[in-house]
Amino acid sequence: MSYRQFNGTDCDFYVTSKEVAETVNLAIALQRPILVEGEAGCGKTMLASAIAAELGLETPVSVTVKSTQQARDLLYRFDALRRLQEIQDPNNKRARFVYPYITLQPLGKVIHEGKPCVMLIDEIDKADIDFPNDLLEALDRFAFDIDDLPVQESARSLAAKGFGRRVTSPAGLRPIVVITSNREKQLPEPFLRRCLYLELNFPLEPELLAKIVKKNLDASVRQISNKLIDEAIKSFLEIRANSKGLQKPPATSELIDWVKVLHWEGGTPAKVRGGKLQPPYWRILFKTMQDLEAYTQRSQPPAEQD
Amino acid sequence: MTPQPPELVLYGVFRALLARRVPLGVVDYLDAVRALRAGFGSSPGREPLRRLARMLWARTDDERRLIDALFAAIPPPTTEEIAKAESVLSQGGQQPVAETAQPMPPGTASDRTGAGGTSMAATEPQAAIEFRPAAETGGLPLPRLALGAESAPETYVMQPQTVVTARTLAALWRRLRAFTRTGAKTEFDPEATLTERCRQGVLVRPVFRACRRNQARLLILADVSTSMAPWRPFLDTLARSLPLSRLQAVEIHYFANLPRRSLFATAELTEPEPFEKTCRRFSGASLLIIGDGGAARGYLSRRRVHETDDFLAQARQAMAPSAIVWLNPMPRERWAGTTAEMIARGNDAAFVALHRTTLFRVVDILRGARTA
Repeated sequence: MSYRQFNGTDCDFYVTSKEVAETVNLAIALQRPILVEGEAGCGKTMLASAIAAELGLETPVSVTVKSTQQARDLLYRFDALRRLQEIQDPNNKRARFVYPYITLQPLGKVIHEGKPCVMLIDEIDKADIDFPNDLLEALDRFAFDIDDLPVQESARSLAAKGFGRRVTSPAGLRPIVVITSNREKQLPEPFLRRCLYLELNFPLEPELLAKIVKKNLDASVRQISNKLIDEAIKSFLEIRANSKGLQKPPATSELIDWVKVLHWEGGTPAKVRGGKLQPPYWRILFKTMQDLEAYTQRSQPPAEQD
Repeated sequence: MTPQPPELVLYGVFRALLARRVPLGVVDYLDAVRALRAGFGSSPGREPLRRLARMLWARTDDERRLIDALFAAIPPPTTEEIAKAESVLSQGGQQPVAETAQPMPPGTASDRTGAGGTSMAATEPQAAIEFRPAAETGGLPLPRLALGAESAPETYVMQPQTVVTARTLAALWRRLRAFTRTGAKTEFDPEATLTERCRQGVLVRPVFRACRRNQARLLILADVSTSMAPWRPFLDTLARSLPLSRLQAVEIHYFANLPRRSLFATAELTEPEPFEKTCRRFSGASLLIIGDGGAARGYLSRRRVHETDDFLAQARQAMAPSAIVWLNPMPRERWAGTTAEMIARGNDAAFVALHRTTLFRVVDILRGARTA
């Protein structure tokens, strides 16, 4: 039994290039996690949903990493406070043992169940520097140890809850793991080596962009004219070409929002074309004050410059 | 199953990447073979193989460029070469191993049948890969060398590296010993007590002596200008190892290019302290200066030479150091024709190039060994 092929074009809300699809298929065949990096707003998180949709799996099990999390928190949780509270009651027999207070968290559950599915670990670079390394064993062998569970209780826990101190994955198809990173911090080398690296670049071809925009608009907005979309994309690519070096150059999600606004505010292809470097509502595309000011300077019509 | 030509090409590229110190392991190569057998990169031509190698083995832009360069440098095989390779492969294990291959664990040889492993090493001399110079593939240009100096074969390391670990440095600082007995007499002295007892005939009270304390003091002045940027990890490690040393007093102060009136307590050049004050505090201590003296960029500036000479004279006068060592991170061959050489010639402090092995000598000189 094996997973289906990922094509990048079959699902109805996501489209991507052939190289990306090839890398995803390679990672699935080699059972390696996929590390997705790229500009914010380029569709890193949606890639996991697209993979799940195309391969006929359920929605991905998604975990967004917080900066205070440790790797252990993704695998299991030991409710020590509850145990401490319950042990105050001398009649409570349950609190004598540790295993009733251990619950498996998303990644731990995925490993324990071993069902074919997609697991998404979002924004892994937000966490501590040791976080990815701590996850290495879990991602490599799909097995982990519950350190808080004493060895004597392992058999009891296995009988009562189905997992002992060492949680392993049943033989068979392993889940697909997709990890995204915003490049805020450098990731440790052993982790980078274990994963297959995928960089989502901003698509510069107008046809691909048009497909992406249409796929993202169909759900919320009907009957948006193709001409408006094409003009908006042309204008957008020019603005983006002029935004090199800005802190946050406009990306796909900004483009989609802009097209929506243009449609709602009654923009026409002619108006968009006539705006040159400053088409109507262009300010939506930028996110910081400095970027706005820098772009305003760059896009001033030459007649006004001295 | 004997290995096919695409596996040979990938094997050659893999070995070349290992030689360039890309952190790959046998697992990566085995995954490439598995991918080939699963059908990836199996379309005819080099291009799918190149894409496969990039996807699997490259994590940074440098590595991607390297893989592209390696593939571009492989000449396309002629039909005779393919026939020769296939005949060698079919002969199997009778070929002697041409060179000692990278030590591969026995698991890999048995994975691809024993014959496959040895015949791969035997055909390696045929798949010779030449490298084009870095300039053609868009690599970094060599920095300007001094006139008349031969360019030694150098490898360029793109990751910042530290020369020694903090632990090694701490062990080196422990060698900087100058034990003397000073301070309050708190330690029991058996010999003196016995002598006293023999002399007086009766033991009145035991004799105490002062404890041995390390009197070694060291002042480190480090250059943190931009030309010293590659050695910042080394300086950080040095700063971290200082609390682990058992010197009586050791401090590291920073300056940019040349110490002027004040030295700074942090590497970001904040918290200034007048140079005179630091010298007075460390009078009689050893002095260690870490700086490239213009050797990193190959400049020769006579004004800088004079200023450095003045600084060293001032330090000698204010501090009266027991030993001065100037540690230059650049190797000695690169000092020729630069400010560093002129400074070294004009002063009688010890000038040492930074290397794992020379640090031992540095500590010996600081301890008081002769510099000759």
